[in-house]
Order: sequence, then C-alpha cells, then structure tokens
Amino acid sequence: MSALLRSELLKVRTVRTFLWLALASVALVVIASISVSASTGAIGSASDDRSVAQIAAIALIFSLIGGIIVMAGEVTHGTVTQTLLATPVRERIVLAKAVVAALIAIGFALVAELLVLAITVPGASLDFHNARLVFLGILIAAPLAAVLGVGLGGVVKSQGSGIAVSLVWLLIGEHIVLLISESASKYSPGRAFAALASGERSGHVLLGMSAGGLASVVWAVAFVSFGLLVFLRRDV
Amino acid sequence: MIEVVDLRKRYRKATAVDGLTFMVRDGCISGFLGPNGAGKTTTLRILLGLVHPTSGRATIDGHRYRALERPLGRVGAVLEASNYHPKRSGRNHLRALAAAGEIQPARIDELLDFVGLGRAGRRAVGGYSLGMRQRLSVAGALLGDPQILLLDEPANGLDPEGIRWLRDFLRGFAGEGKTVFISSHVLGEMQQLVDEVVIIHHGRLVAHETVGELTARAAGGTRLRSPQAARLREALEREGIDARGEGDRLVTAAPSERVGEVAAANGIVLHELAADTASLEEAFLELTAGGGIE
Ligand SMILES: Nc1ncnc2c1ncn2[C@@H]1O[C@H](COP(=O)(O)OP(=O)(O)O)[C@@H](O)[C@H]1O
Ligand SMILES: [Mg+2]
Repeated sequence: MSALLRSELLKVRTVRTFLWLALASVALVVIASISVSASTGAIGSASDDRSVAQIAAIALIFSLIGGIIVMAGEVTHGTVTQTLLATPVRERIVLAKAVVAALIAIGFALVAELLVLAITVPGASLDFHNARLVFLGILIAAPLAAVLGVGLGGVVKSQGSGIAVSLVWLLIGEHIVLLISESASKYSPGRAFAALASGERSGHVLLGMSAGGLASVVWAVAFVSFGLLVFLRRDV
Repeated sequence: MIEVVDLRKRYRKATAVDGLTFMVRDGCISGFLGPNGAGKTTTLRILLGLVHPTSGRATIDGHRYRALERPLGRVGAVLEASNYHPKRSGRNHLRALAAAGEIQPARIDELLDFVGLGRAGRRAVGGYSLGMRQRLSVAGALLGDPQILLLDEPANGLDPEGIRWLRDFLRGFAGEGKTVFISSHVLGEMQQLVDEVVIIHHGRLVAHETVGELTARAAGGTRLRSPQAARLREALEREGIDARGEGDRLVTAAPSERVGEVAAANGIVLHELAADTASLEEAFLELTAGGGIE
C-alpha cells in the first residue's frame, strides 16, 4: 500500500494542478481575511469570532475539487489505463487516492486556518478561544470533503463534469432542497458540512456540530462507496 | 501463455467480441489481425482487465490479469498513444508507474535511453510527437521486465524509422524466448515480423495459423511447366490432385512441395515449378471479405 501511496503522491507532485488549487484557496482566504480586518469593529461577539474563523472553510471547496481531480483527472487524461495496469485491484487505487486526497485537504485546511489567524488576530482582534471549534470542524471536514470528491470523481467521466456538478449542486441544488423541505435540507451535503464547520454545538438553521459531522461522514462514505462501485464496473 | 475462451463482449449497440477462442504459445511473435472494428482492442483490453467481458474468459498464464501477483513483471502493454497528462514529463510518468509497481527507479533512465527518448524524457509529454509517445509507451511496458508483451496497433503514428526500430526491438525481445502478441490492421508489416497470425472478423475467429499456411491458403496453387505435362496430369489425378492447363503448362491448387514429390516419384521432368503465393494482404482480404471462412 505504501508503494501505491508513493505513486499517487508522485502524480500529485509532478503536475501543477494542485499548486494552483492551493494558491486559489490561499488568495480567497487572504482577500476575505484582509477585508474583515479592514472593517473596524467587525468582531463584537463570540459568534462574530466564529463567523470570521469560517473564512477558512473556503478550503473545503478546494478540498472537494482536489478530491474530484485526484480521481477523475486520470480518466480525463487517460492515464487511468496505465494506473490500472500497474495496480489491477481497483479497490486499492480508490483507497490510495482517498488517502492522498485527504492529506492534500488537511494541508489546504491548515494553511487556510493559519492565514486567517495570522491576518485577523492582529487586524480584527479575533479571539482564538471562541474560534477554535470552527477550526477543528474545518480540519475534520476538509478530508471528508476530499473523500466525497474522490467518490464523485469515480462516478463522473471527466474532472470537468465532476467539478461542474458539484458547483451547480452547491449553488443551486442546495437551495432547491431548502425550498422543498427545510427540515430535510439540514441533512443535505452542503449544510451538513457547513454545520460541522460552524463551531456551534447546537444549531438553529443548521444541525449542531457533532450531528453535522456525523452526517458529513455518512455523505463521504456513501459517495466513496458508490464511486468505488461504479469504478469497479467501469470499462476503461 | 495467453488464452481466450469463448469470450464475448456486448455493448449496448454493438457486439465487439463474439465467442472468440484462441491460445497463443510462449516464445513466439503472434499477430492479431482484423479490419477496423473487428474487436482486437476490446479483446486486448479484456485480457488486461481494463474491460469486463460479458461472458467467457481471457487469461495470462492461467490467471486473470487482476489476479497476477506483480502484473508489470509478467505483462507489458503498449496501448493507444496519448494516454498521458500533457503537463507531466515522460520521466515523471514512468516514476509514478514504477513506484506503483515497486520497480527500481534506476530502470527508468535506462529505459528512456533504450527507447531513444533520453533527455526528452524530462520534457512535458504535451510536446511529444506521436512517435515519441509510442516510444514512451514501450518504455512503460518494459518497466517490469515482462515475459509477455501485448501491443495494440503500435505502428500507428510511427514513421518508417520508428517502425524499423520497433520491429528490430520486437525480434530481439522474442529472440530471448519471450512472447509478443501484436495487433494490426496493416498487414505488410506483420508478414515479415510474426510467426503466426490470429485473424478475427466481427469479433469471431477466422483463422489461426502460421504465416506460411495463411499465404498458401489464399492462392496456394502451383504453376509448372513440363515436357511430359499429360503424364504428370494423370499421375497427379491418381493422387487425387486436380490439374488444369494446356501445352506444357499446368496449374493446380496443391502446394508446390506435393507436386514436386509426385513428379519425382514418377520420374517426370519439370522445367518450371513455382509456388503461387499470394501476399498476406490478399489472403487476409479474402478471409475477412465476408462473414468468415465457414
Ligand atoms: N466502449 C464501447 N462502446 C460501444 N461500442 C464499442 C466500444 N468499444 C468498441 N466498440 C465497438 O466494438 C467493435 C470492436 O471495436 P474494437 O475492439 O475497437 O475493434 P478493433 O480494435 O479491432 O478496431 C466496434 O464495432 C466498436 O464500435
Ligand atoms: Mg483497435
């Protein structure tokens, strides 16, 4: 397994895709953090602290996209053929890719959180004590989002369609679910992850952090299982 | 040993492989021939565990590809070119493959030199010509030092020099007692390269024989000239061989060896004896013109 992990890490390191993803994530986090710091009196309460810390949740989107690319990028470029020749047991490939995507995601989340802290603690007097549950939630949510992305990447036929599907879902699909049923929408993937990253022990609009975390785990496992099933049956 | 037994692959709209059975022995170069759409690529991909058959089985040394212990060390495959990330260098592509196959990294530069990519190996594959990609594919196939090499139309996109290089390489590879199974719809190349051919058409086997047998089958006749043509004709007829002709010339469907033997046994003088061999191309076209030989 370690040989396979090394191979998957090499694939990530030898193209710039993931560097660009990281840079995009960093840029958005920095811009958001600076604008919060610049608006004086932004932080007045513990819930304000949490809202500011949630800037780091930007890394979740990029973790999801990273997971999709780790898995579906090989289909897009056709390298999946050679990957399968070297490792014909497809379950092992999906496992290795999930681990690598999760590692990347933890990196994205850590960098985002450190940047938020570095900019908003001195600039807007962010209180880490109030924000730490948010940071913890994001550190857990990021690898889960990446694993979900790997699962989605196993279903779609190209990384582009995987990214498009997930963005359309987050921007439109989630709202449609909310319109249909407010109580059910709490369990939708976007809101489950948001709850995990909320830092709120019990939410009103969202689930509480632990319930949201549980729902996020269920979504990630469901997606990666389905992605694996599709990938196992796929003709390459 | 490559073994395909009653293999079938049905897609929604087409049946790509339709009850195909054949076996390729170790230590020789076998051609896998058939016109475009005959099912060659599908068969090879099933052999490699990339495509799932609808029924039947395809095994290598008795095992399905998925069950092979170190697959890269058993089988090398050169599939269609262009299966590369355009921004990754050829060398890094091989590094990732070698890592997954637990192959010594030292072998990578050795192979890049061997296939003539050398320094180009450090450039992004996006800038490679089709021929360079094929060479990279060959390097990838050889990473694990396999005993069997499967190639799917490797001559596509190669210039004449590249084709010569590939042919020499394959001869050397087979010369070490290893096995080559190479598909093509272009036959001129195969005639000089392969020991035997597996010919398929519409996903079915049409012929599996040596190149000599195949050529003999298509025209397979013998032309001869003899001052004792009439006597020879009678002698041949006694052996059950039909011959036609006028004057001192005769034409028969029997192979030239057989005709020569009959003539010698009867003390008949021959002035000319020629095997009327067709090119592999003609033989192939004849076989795949209709639904098969049956
Ligand atoms: N993925 C696929 N989906 C549907 N039909 C396919 C697919 N792959 C191959 N076919 C069909 O199966 C037949 C055999 O194709 P192929 O194995 O590529 O032949 P060859 O390699 O001999 O040219 C063709 O008719 C082709 O259109
Ligand atoms: Mg083909």
